Amino acid sequence: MAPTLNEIQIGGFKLGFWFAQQGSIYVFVILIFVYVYLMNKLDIRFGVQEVEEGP
Amino acid sequence: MSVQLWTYIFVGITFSLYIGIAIWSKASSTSEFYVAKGTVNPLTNGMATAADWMSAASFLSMAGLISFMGYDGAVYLMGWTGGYVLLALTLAPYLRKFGKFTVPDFIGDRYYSQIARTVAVICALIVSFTYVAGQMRGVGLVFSKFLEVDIFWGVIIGMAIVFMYAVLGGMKGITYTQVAQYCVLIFAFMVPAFFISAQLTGNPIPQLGFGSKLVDGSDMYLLDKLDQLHTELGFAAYTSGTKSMQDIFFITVALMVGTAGLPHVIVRFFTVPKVKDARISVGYALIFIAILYTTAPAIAVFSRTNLITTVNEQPYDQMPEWFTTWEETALLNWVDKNGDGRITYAPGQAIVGSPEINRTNGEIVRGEYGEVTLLNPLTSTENELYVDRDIMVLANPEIAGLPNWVAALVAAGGLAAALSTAAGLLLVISTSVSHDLIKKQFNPDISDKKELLFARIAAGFAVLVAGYFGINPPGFVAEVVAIAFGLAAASFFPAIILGIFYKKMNREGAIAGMIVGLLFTLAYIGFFKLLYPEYNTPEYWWFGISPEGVGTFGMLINLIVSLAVGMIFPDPPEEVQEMVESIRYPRA
Repeated sequence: MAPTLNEIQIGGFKLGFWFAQQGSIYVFVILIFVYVYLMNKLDIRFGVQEVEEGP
Repeated sequence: MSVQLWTYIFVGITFSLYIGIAIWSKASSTSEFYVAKGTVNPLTNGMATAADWMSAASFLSMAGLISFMGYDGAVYLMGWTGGYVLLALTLAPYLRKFGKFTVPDFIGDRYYSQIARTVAVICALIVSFTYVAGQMRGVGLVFSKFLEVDIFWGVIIGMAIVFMYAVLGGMKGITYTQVAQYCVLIFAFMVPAFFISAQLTGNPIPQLGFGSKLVDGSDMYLLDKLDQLHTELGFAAYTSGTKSMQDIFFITVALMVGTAGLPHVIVRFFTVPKVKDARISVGYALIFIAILYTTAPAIAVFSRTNLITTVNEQPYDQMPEWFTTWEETALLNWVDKNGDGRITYAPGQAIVGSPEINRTNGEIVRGEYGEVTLLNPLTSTENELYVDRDIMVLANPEIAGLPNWVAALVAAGGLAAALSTAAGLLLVISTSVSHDLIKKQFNPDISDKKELLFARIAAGFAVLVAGYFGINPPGFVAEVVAIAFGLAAASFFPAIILGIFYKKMNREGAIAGMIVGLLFTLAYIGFFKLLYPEYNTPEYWWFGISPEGVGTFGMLINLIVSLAVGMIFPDPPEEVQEMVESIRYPRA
């Protein structure tokens, strides 16, 4: 896929190269935070979230 | 001030900081020693995980590896960060809910079997020892270059420091030292990157800089310039790959799965109070890691460009001072094949094997132009330059002509990266022995105090073994580490995943899977890396998979064997199935 994407160039980056060495990492970070948000919501919806130990 | 003096200052300050934390955070119970009592703040844990995880390989070797691999270097970048997605989605929250001390603990309880526990301990020990060897070599490398201390004494000093805070403070001490070490290493990694990025492109942010235009008046993009230099010298263009598609895929998956299966990373998520914290903590960890991992490919491009433009076709006698100092460490050498006094850089190895300096009575024998001469036979390529990939990050500030204190900072950062990872690994080794072997198998009635003592003795012993490997290092740092990943991928990961997501997985299947996966991967790597390195080329590999990528293959074999053997034997007992059910719900 990279060779096709490398046809497109944004600034000094060939797009395939950018995704391989930069973009993928940003995507991973976003994935985790989206997952955490959705799971926390799911836990509350089904009432299995941890009980907050408060005052 | 000289680099050496600056290095003494930085290393002195950072080491006293680590020792200070060690004294402040002495552990008094096994729970404190193993998991810091499970009270670590998720953000703190994220930072500690980042330091735990980013080793001498990430800090010293990775940018260098990428700079020699070009596009293909992406396998390390994607593999070593993608593992955190797996960790967040499939492992960390569930293992936190399970709530014990170690990975073998989980395997032993989940598969209701002491044999499974023992197999897991053996896997943990093999993985951790392979990995720790790489760290100690990193420590030795920094000491020998910057402080001109013998590698032997460099490793001894590093061992003494790790011994202090790992043996005294256990997980509690390690956590807070790792936070300090993260700050040191990220600062040390970023400062030269900012400087060099600004110097070459005018944009100080390295992530943007390596996609910007050069400031040398050529109005060319840096990457285009590098592609052009590469093509002129006969290399493949930097931004295009040379590895086969399936090898890229297998290596990346092996590194991802291996990351998620590394026991010293997994245990970090046992230290936070709640399941919710374990989830978000993985996210924080990856942000802290991504700062370095998105900078490394930029550094790779900067250092590659600087190296080529500084040395290629230049007369040797006009080389800057750094060139000659690295020559004496046998990590950067020149052999004048065509007798023109200029350095020719071209594809292929310049010499056979790694450089052996020609000495008479301890004095280095110099050649016609004052260069360090070597004993190695020459190859038939045009290339006259030997560059050890591990030096690229260390030499980078000097190559770019940055002030002395920057180079010294990099040395302190490399030490922080190596020591933080070594400490995490030593803890895994010590808990595996004191908790999983002694407490769970030989002497279940042992008192907490005694168990703690055994944990400390085991940690001390592990430091000594790690030191031995540091003084007698096996191969390149990053390559050794890649092997540890393959082993983690082929042994732990499938057993844990099946343990969490397949209620009916039984002990017979899991044990068979782990043993077959581990043996297969060890045999494949051992064959190509140790026994017959001359066959280590794509034509001999199975399905074109390199030894670095074979962990993925081992993992698949493990899964198939586990499922097949599991079908023959009876389902696990009712209470185990209930336990599996319960770890899927965060509420206690």
